[in-house]
Parts: sequence; C-alpha cells; structure tokens
Amino acid sequence: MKRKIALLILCAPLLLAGCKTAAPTQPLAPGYANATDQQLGEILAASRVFYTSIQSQSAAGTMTLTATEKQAFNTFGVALNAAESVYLTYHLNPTAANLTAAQTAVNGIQTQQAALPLPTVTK
Amino acid sequence: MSTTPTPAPATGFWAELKLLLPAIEMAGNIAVTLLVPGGVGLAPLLTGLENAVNPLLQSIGTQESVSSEILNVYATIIGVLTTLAQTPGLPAATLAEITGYITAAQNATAAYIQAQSGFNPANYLPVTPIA
Repeated sequence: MKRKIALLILCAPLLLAGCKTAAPTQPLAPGYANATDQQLGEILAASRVFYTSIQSQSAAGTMTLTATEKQAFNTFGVALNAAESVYLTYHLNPTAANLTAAQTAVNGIQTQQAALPLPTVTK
Repeated sequence: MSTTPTPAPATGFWAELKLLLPAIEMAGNIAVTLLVPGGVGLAPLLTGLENAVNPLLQSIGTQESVSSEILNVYATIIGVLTTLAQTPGLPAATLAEITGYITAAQNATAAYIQAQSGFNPANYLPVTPIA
C-alpha cells in the first residue's frame, strides 16, 4: 500500500503535466474588429485610466506633482492622445499599414508609461 | 497575435522608486545596507522585485498573448508599492504618494479588465493636461 502511495506521489507531476492543454483562445469581445484591435484597445484603456487617476488625485490634492513630474505626465498625456487617435484609425480601418502604426504607437505608450517618474517624496 | 517587439525599459520608474529608499530608511529605521547585521534587507527586496518586473515589462509586445503580462505588470507594481506602504513609520507625504500610485495601478487594472468585455469609445477620449 505504501509503495502504491509513494508511486502515486512520484507520478503526480507527470499526471498533472499530462493534463496540460493548449492555452484557450480568448473570444473576441463585442465591438472590436479583431484580436489585435482588442488587445491594443485594452492596453490603451488601462494607460488612459492610469493617467486620469493620477490627474484626479493631483487635482484633489492627495498627490502633489512637481513641475518636472507634471511635465512628464503631460507629455505622456499628449502621446496618449496621439496613440488613441492612431488606434481608432486602425479600429475603424484595420489595414496592415494602420496596424503597424497602431502597434508602434501603443508600444511607445508602454515605454513612456514605464519611464514615468514617481512623485517626489517630501522628506 | 503578436505586436511589434519593442522592449519597454522600466529604468525611469524604478530609478525613481529607489529614491524613496532614503526616506523610508530614515523614517522606519530600516537598514538598507547589508553591512548592518540583522538589518532588514529592503534594498535586496526591491532589487528582487525590480528583477521580477523588468522582464515582464520587456516581454510586452513580444508574446502571443500579452494579457497576462500586462496584468502581471500592474499586479506586481501594486504588490511592490503595497509592501512599501506597509513600512512602519513612513512619512505621511511618502505614504500618500505611494498610495496614489497604487490607486492608479488598481484603476488601470480594472480598466484593462473592463475593456475585455467590449469596445467602448469612451475609453479613448482625449485626456486633458494636468493643471
């Protein structure tokens, strides 16, 4: 009996590995032209809310941005607006050329967002 | 799908995050140097978390499915900042700044998930400058 249990324990990882299946394809959500359109749209939607959340907290006074930080966020906001415009062009007309432009714009947004400064800490 | 593989360096974000360390050290009497026996290794902790996040950021746009990577990035940022926020004796201003970023990352995560339910043109309205 003990031998059987030990065998089961040893084989468990193999059994689990055998259960692995291919990652399910996410169904296309309503309104998107295709999977790429959806993916780019999701990323931009999140980036926009990240910006507006910082913006609203700054307006409420719960987060104080220095002039440098504010400039960085506003530069990010300008780039975000441009990327959204390019994305919407692709969304309405999903051609290969528009796709390249949209991917480049969204990748640029991700890079800029990752490089945003943290607000300066008052010491 | 695969987007154009353009790695997204996170040096700016993390470089600024590390600027928080002196304030945290002063406020919480936390040793950030390995030279202090028994001191809490906050610096190694941050280094570890940074190493965990950077590959995720750099993987964006290079994987067939980036959904999990995007969510992992926001979740990890939330985790890192939440850990920092729980540091004893943090100055109120420091805590406010950290909390602000946590809130923004949480809201971004929610927006990302919400966008998965369908296209909403309101998600792409132009933003206004921060006054």
